[in-house]
Formats: sequence, C-alpha cells, structure tokens
Amino acid sequence: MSSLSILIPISLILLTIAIVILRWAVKNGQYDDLDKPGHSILFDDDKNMIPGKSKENTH
Amino acid sequence: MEHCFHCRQPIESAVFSRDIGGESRNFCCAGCQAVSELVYADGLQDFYQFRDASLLPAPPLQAKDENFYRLHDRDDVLKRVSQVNADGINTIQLGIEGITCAACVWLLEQHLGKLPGIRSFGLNLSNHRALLTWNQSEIPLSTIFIEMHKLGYRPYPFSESEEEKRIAKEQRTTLMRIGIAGIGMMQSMMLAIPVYFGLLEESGESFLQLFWYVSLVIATPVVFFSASPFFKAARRDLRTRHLTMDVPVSLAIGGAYAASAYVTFFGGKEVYFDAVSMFTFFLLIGRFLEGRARMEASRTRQRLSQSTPSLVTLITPAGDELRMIEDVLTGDVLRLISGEMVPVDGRIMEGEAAINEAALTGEFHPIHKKVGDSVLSGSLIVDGGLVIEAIRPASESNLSVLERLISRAMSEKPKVIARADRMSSLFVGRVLLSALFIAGIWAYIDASQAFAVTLSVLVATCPCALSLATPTALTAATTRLRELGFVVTRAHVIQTLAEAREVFFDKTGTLTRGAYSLVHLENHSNHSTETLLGIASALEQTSTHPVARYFQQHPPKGIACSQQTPGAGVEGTLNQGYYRIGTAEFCGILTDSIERRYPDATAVYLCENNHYVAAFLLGDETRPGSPALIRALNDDLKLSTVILTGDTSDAGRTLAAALGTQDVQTGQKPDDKLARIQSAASIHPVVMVGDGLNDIPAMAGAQLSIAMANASDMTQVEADALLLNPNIEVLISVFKLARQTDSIIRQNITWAFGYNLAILPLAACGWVSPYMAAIGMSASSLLVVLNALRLSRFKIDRAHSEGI
Repeated sequence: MSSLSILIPISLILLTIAIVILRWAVKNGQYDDLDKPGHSILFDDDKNMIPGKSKENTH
Repeated sequence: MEHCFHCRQPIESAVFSRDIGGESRNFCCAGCQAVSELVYADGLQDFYQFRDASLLPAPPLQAKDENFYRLHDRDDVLKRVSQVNADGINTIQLGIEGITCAACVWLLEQHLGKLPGIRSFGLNLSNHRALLTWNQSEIPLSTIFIEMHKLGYRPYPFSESEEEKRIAKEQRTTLMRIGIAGIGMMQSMMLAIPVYFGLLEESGESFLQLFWYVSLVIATPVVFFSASPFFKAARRDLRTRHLTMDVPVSLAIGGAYAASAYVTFFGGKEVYFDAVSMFTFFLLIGRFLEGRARMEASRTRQRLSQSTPSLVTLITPAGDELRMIEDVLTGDVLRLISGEMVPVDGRIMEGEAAINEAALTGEFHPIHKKVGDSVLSGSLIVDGGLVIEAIRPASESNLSVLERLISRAMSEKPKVIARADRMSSLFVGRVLLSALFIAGIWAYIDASQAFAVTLSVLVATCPCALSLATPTALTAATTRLRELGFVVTRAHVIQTLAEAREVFFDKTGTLTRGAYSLVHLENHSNHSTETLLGIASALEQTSTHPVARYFQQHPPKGIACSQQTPGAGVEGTLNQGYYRIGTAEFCGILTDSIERRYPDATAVYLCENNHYVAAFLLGDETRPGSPALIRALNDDLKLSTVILTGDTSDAGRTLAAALGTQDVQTGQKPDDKLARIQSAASIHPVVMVGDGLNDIPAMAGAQLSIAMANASDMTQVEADALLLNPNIEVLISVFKLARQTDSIIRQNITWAFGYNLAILPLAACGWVSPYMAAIGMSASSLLVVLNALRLSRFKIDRAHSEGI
C-alpha cells in the first residue's frame, strides 16, 4: 500500500500534463473541424509519391 | 432512368454526352459536363470514387457570375474583404456553397493547390469555410473564384459576425471545461472505487483521508472552472425568477462539493467528489451539443443575410462611376434600374417607379413613388427607373434591413423548445419543493442520511434528459435535411412540416423548371442535334431574350457576326453561312403544322442560306420529380395538394391532370393566392412551395414557406426553408423526416419524464446513492441523445437515393 504514496503523485502529474496538452489542442484549433480529418486518410491521392510505382496518377 | 455522371440527378434525354476517362458518360447539363472534363483533365478523377453524397448540379459560368467575381479584383473591394501583409500576400475568409462531402474538400484543395500564386488553402468541412492566402499580383482573386466555380462550387467572401465569434469562443471554452471534467471524473472514480468496495478498510483511516484530500484537489477545478456556467446561469435565474434546470444542478453540485469538502477537513462518513465530476461532465456534453446547434443556425442565417460586395452606379459631374455600396455617402446621387434593390435610404430626384417594400414592412403590394418621395434601403424596384439622392450613408441604412431580418429569425424560439422549457421550469419547481420536503422527513427519521438522500433526489431527477430531448432531435434532423439539400432558416420549420395537412405549389419554376427547354426538335437537315444547337447558340450569344438563354447553355459553334431584330429574331453570318433564327415570319416560313401539335410550346425556326433547316419547340418542362412527389404526398403522406398559378392558359390544368392532383387554380393574382391560402391556413397548417416574387404574399400567409433554389433572392430571404436540391422529389423525404423527428421528440420526452418520475420515489426512500443517481441520469441522457441521432441516419426514398 505504501506504493500508493508514489503512484498518487505520479497520477496527479500525468493529470496536469493531460490538461496542458488538451489546452494546447483546443487553442490550436485541433477540434474545429471534426469531419474532414476522418475522411482525408481514406483518399488514396499519394500513389505518385510512393517510390517504385509508375506515375499513373499524374497528368 | 439515367443519372447524370457528375451530380447524379435523374436525366431524361442524353443531350450532353462525352467520352471521358475512356467511357461514354451522360450529363444533365453543360455545367456538369464541363466540371467532369476539368476533373479528369486535372487527374483528379479519384473524386468520383471518394465521394459519398450527391452533388448539386454545376451551373455554367455566366456573365453575371463572372462580373461578380471580377468585382473582387477592384482595389477598394479587395481592401474590404481581405487583409494584406507586408510581403503583399493576401488573406481572405471564404464561404463556399455546394460542398456536400469530404471528397468535395479534397477536390478543391487538390485543384487549387495546382494553381500558381496560391500560398495556402484550407477548407473546413464542418462549416464550409475556407482560409485562402494568395499573391494578388501573381493570380487575381477573381481567377481563383472562377476556378472554384468551374468545379461547381460558389465562393463568396465572408466575415464572421460578432455573435458567431462569441459562440465559437464559448464552444472552445466549453470543450476545455468538458475535458477537465472528464479527466477529473476518471481520476476521482479511480480513487472512489476502492472506497466503495471496501478495499481500504484494512489499511486504515490515514489512506482514506489521503484519498479524500486528493479527490478534493481533483474536484476543485471541476467545480470552479467546469461547472461555473451552471452557477452563473442559476444566479441569473434566481434574479429573474425563472426556474431552469440550472438551479437544482447548481444546488446539487455546489452542495455536494461543499459537504464533501467539509467531511474531508473535519471528518464524516462519505464524500461525493466522483458524483460531482461525473454529473458536471455529462451536463456539459449536453450543453456543447446545444451550442453546436445554435452555431449551425446562426451560420445559416448569416449565409442568407451576407452582404456581398455590390456596386452601384453613381452620377458624378465627371460622368457615371461604379462605387461600392459601403462607400456611398450622404448626398451622393445614384442611378437605379428596374429589378435592383435600393441600396441606401434616399429621396427620388428623377423618375418614378413601383416599389415593393415587403422586406421592411411586410406589405407586398408595390407602392407607386415619384419625385420627392423617399425610398428605404432594402426595398425593391419592381418597375421603372430612378435617380435618387442618398440621405443617409449606406453603413447606417443598410444595417437596419439586415438587422431586422436577423432579429426576426433570432426572436423565434422553436415552439417545441419553448414548450420543453416551460415543462422543465414547472418540473424544476416541483423537484425543488419535493427535495425540500424529503430532506425534512429524513432529518426527522435519520439526520445522518438526510443529506445523501436529498443529494440523490436532486441528481436523479435532474431534468437534463428532458431538456436534451428536443434540441438534439432538431439538430440531428436539421443536419440530415441539409445533406438532402433542404436548408432550414426558421426555428419552427420541422415541427410545422410534421403537422402540415395541405401543400400548395406554384406552377412555373416550382413544379416545372421555369426555364425554356427543348420539347421537340424538327430537323429538316443532315446536321446533328448538337450542331444545330451550337449554331443557334452562336447566333443568340448577344441576345437577352429569354429564349436565347436556353441556346446559350450549349457550346457555340464558332463566332457569329449577328444582328437582332427585336420581337422577331436574329440574323447573322457564321462559318461562311448566312443564318436567320426566330419567328416563322422572320425566317420567311409558312406556319408549320408543328405549332398546332405543340400548342403550349414556343416555336423557334432556323434558316441556313434561306433554307428552312430546323424548328426548335421550346416549352417549360415539368420537373422530373414532380409526378412522383405529388403522388407520394397524396397517397403515402395523406396530404392534399393544390396547384396555384398565375397563368391563365390551359397549361396549369394540363399539368395538374398529368400530375394527378384534383385541385388547381389558374389565373391567380398574388392576392388571390394569398386569400386562398389564408382560408386554408385558418383550418389547418399549410405549406407553400414557390419561387417567384409574386409568391411572396402567399408564402407569408402559409404557416410554412419553402423557396426553390432558383427563386429570387428576395423570395429566399422571406422563406422559412430553401430547397437547394433541384430534384423536387426530395420533399417526400423532407416530410417523412419531419414526421419521424416529431415522433422521436415525443418518445424522448415520454422517456425522460417517465424515468424521472420512476426514480424519484426510489431516491426519496434512500435506495439510490448519489453516484448511482449520477450514472442513472447520464444513462438516461445518453439514451435520449442516441435516440435523436437515429435521425441522422434517416434513409431517404429509393427513388432519388442513387449515389447518396
């Protein structure tokens, strides 16, 4: 049980870090558009950036 | 039925067909075809795989659009809509119309990324706004705008209203509050669970004390930062003597926190820090969702009242000069023509005109005004031309119109929400009284339990599920409707749609396309249809006759040297040939029997080197979706439908017969329409769907008015909702969705009330501990929200679901 006296302060430090990161993310506008980033990963528009593949997608 | 390859709207005849990407594709119009060609030319054809929503048809770039875009290259306009930094890089905020899914964003970002001179372009899919930075000396803004238009999107410069900025800032703070409450909730649960399960019992009092102190540290920011809006609102409520759920919420949070803190310092049996954090967390989520709904509503309003830069003609000693409306000062003299909106309050110096002041006064009859009379900004010149002197600068007069329109939209709280408010206000009063009563009884039975029981009662009966029931359902429905191309601009729309019993339609432009289209082509030559249309288009390029607008949509075959004879036609030379296009008389043709075969159509004849080659029969075509719409409204939804038309000919009756409605009124003047609607509206809720200025009075008389996408600006501003989707069939889904929303709201309210009534006696008997009460109320709220979210997955009718 004495380990708690170390673990509890550690959890409080992690808590503070989490809040600082959240604050940065909110201020930085990370939550402003909740729709686009979820889709953008699905667009295979990097074909011609993969080395060794033919540049079929260029014009 | 065929569907347009680009926008997926149903098409009847494949006039526009091209080999694109190795396959033959059909299009609904020249605009969609051009967009598709551009997309393939750019190597961005993946767009068609990525997209998961249908698009709006892309109107081809017309002179009026181009003029509007070119306007933005003027220094005075540019200075007003964008910011320039020291390196000559401009930044502008844009709103973009026509975006339906993530693939649109991708397409625009990819396409614009290829243009030189653009520094960055980022588009937000949630609110359809973009931030563009570019170098005006390398690429003019108008070119960028035109590129966007060519892809089928319409950009407009845009600045956030004060109200919106405030809501956006509030939303960010709320997000922060939710985060802290959430983290606090997890941490205090972690500390609370060992206590609840008695795991600390063998390790003694000192650990329990430590846990309490740590929980106090964690709960303090949750109460003082995250929960502060509730306290603020409760204070305001007490001052205005209007009970909302903020009062019991603040009592529960504040009381539980204070009591727990007291126990921590001076000893006692139990602390409630976990319940406090969890309660705050779930309440804030509800508040956040509500804020999103408000933001959405404010955006829609703004889009409609957005003052786009427009120029007015100023008469100066040096001649006529174009000037931005914002720069007009008192004493300036302006020239206004028929169809223009009066830009500033002024006095008439020359001319007379019929003026419609419906936007200002609601009076739709045009008023005749002459020299010396004053005109108000926002009124519309129906007929005639004027020279006016500004008696107030534009900034002062313009404001009043917009403000009036916006405030009218703001002042209405949806009736359903108002009802829920009233109910929860009553409910809150009862809860507070019963909590007091229960506290009294328990103090008598067992004083040590009294506080815990009262707290449970307050938390368990929190009416937040009740207050979430309506706004979440309305938000989900509004978002889904917007995806269908139906934009709600007034609060009461969804409810009225669900209650409506009778639907009135205007004929021209609503049930029909309202523009000339080809009914029949009589071809006496060996030219293809496309060639004939191309020749006609080349000849008619400079004409302003309504008929010419039909031909101008087609790509011209060369450049004609032509001359117009008003009321007859156009003659000219094109590719060494001599052509005449116009009436039979003008072309020297004896009236053909075809005019008798198509009595409702307008015949346009084409002669090549004095030989009769073709006759185009142009008519107002019924929208493809109209018959299905009328049938579904009558049969499935049991609504009665009426067609009102100003047309005196038989066309209205022919249409009604074709569509299968029983009721049609022809030769209706605006006040006849209004009278007819008012008499129906006094019996049951009615809906009016229209598009023209002459429909405005009728639309004002109906409980709900819907304007078509092609409606005049004025009609759109007046209407309660806009149908941007040209496929009128979507209205079937709109009605169905509204009815489903109504039933979901009822389910939600019934559930929330039922749950609260059921839990009250249990909590009063002391069988529900505060943390269980918090879980129960959260679960109840969650259920309500999930039920509302079913609406956002509402399946639309198969008939027009292709490609969505």
